[in-house]
Amino acid sequence: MNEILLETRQLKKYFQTPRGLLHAVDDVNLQFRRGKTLGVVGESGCGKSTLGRTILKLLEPTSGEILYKGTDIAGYGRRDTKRMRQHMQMIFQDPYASLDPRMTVREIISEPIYINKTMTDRREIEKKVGQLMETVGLAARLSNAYPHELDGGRRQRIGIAKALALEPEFIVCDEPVSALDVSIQAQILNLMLDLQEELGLTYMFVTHDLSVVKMISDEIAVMYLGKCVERAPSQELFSHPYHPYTKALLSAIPVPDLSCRGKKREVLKGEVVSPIDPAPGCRFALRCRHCTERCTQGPVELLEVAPGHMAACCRWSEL
Amino acid sequence: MKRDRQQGLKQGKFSAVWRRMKKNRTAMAGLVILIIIILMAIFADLIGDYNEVATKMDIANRLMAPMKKGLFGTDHYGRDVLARIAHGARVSLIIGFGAVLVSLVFGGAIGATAGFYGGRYDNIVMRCMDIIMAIPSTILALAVVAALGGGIFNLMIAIAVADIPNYARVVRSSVLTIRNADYIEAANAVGAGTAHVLARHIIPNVLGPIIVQCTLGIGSSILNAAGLSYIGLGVQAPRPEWGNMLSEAREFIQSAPHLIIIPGIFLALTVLALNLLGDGLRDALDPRLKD
Repeated sequence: MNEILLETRQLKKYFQTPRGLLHAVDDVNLQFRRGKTLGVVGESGCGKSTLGRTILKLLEPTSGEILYKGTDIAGYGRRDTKRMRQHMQMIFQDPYASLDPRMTVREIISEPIYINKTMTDRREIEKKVGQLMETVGLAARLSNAYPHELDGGRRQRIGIAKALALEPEFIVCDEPVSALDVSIQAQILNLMLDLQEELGLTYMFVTHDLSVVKMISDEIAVMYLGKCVERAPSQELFSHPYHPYTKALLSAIPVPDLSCRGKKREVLKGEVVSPIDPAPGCRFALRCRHCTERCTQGPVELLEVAPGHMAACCRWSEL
Repeated sequence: MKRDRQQGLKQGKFSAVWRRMKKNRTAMAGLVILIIIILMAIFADLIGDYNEVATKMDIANRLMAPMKKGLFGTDHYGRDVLARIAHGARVSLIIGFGAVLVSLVFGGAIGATAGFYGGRYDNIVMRCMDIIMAIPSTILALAVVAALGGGIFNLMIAIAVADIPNYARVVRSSVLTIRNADYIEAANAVGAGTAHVLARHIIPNVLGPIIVQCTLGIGSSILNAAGLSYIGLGVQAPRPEWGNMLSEAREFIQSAPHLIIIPGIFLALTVLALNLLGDGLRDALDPRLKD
């Protein structure tokens, strides 16, 4: 049941910029268990979307391994990558921009099938598109509609249907609900949970919305400036955060309760430091009030602080 | 009902564009005018033979008013104006379409590569285009004609050169916006290759603005050609062209105003028709503006 479907080992993605090397993803180790959801949270620019794209090989990893069912796909060439994409798909953040405005719903959903030639008979493809639309809750009469004629929720359903067209096992969801109205977010999240149960999908759920990630994830990884700073099962992370950054992040969740008004929040000082040529040591050190000399010297490794709970803080036992 | 939808599927994109075009009356008016003028140009020899009617002098019947001799009368050499208009349409349309084709091919290639590769190449190429744009197009065309000499082909090249930057800019900006669109990445995510992305996503999305630019461009090229012929640098007499017909008729503006009015009307009508058609096409090609 807890078989590992996909794993990243020391995965790195650096970008060459005029001002130096940008460490977007730095030594990230994650395990994705079959049929489970791993939520990846972090603030804007922490590399969570880049991580998702690198795992799908939409970006070429700088170094490290991506093990899919035990085989390293990081070094795969074009043809092998294309083959891999049939098993690994992506749901995009913005359902307005990620659908070609000149294609009808039917064309969009069937595009992956035509490209990968998983089916060749037109009638069969038509039938498949009909099934997919039904699965994601789109009325059949919409098959000739254009994306601009539909609302955000329906467009995101198209995006999901397109991702499902190749019957993948693993789906990277890049903030799939952040562009939607709150009322529609829940519908889409429920649809994704239903699909997971029905089809045994494995999700990597990238988001900055902690309440969303709590609802959908089995396990959560917290990222800060390209590093994974804490990783734990969902409940565990929310009840016993170890890393100071995670604590600050959790205390920033708005609580819709008047009695909590006076509650002190942990407010972070300073700005995120630049991910270009970062200093050695803990990347959070400059903003951390528990920072000591030790934090800025050597690299800080992700350690198991409790069963199944990893944190990258050298003072975790004291705090 | 079900059958309707099935047919709708088979007819595809072009019929959808045509259906939307048909609703636009001004665009259809433009199309009809343009077709009439194109037919005139194709069947110019039936309207009046080039050597026997359009360029043969007949001094006895000079400066006849319209309807007195022929539909549009005769000019100062007694040549039939209708036949000359028809043969002139041939020249004007060839120059118009030809110049646009040439500038589209070169401008399109320059713009597409600049937009696609970006960086220093983009910068250098587009600054060169800016330099060409800074020179008034008529003056530039004049210089090219002066260097190459007259004739229809050289006129076409001269007008095309001045127009290249316009096409380069339109194509570049379209490619730039579309290259970074999320749906291109989405296509990559499902395993699409470069050829598929180009054919299925980039070209259909770039095509709209380019077709519009072309239709409008044909009109202005025809005007430019007429302008150059008017000042004697374009098509040379006795070959009729609307611009040099206007030029030759200057002296007779009082005694035989139809010699000015008729070529002028044809010139204006053709350009108007192309502009109407261009606007209509822009609306019809964009599914977001449907209905």
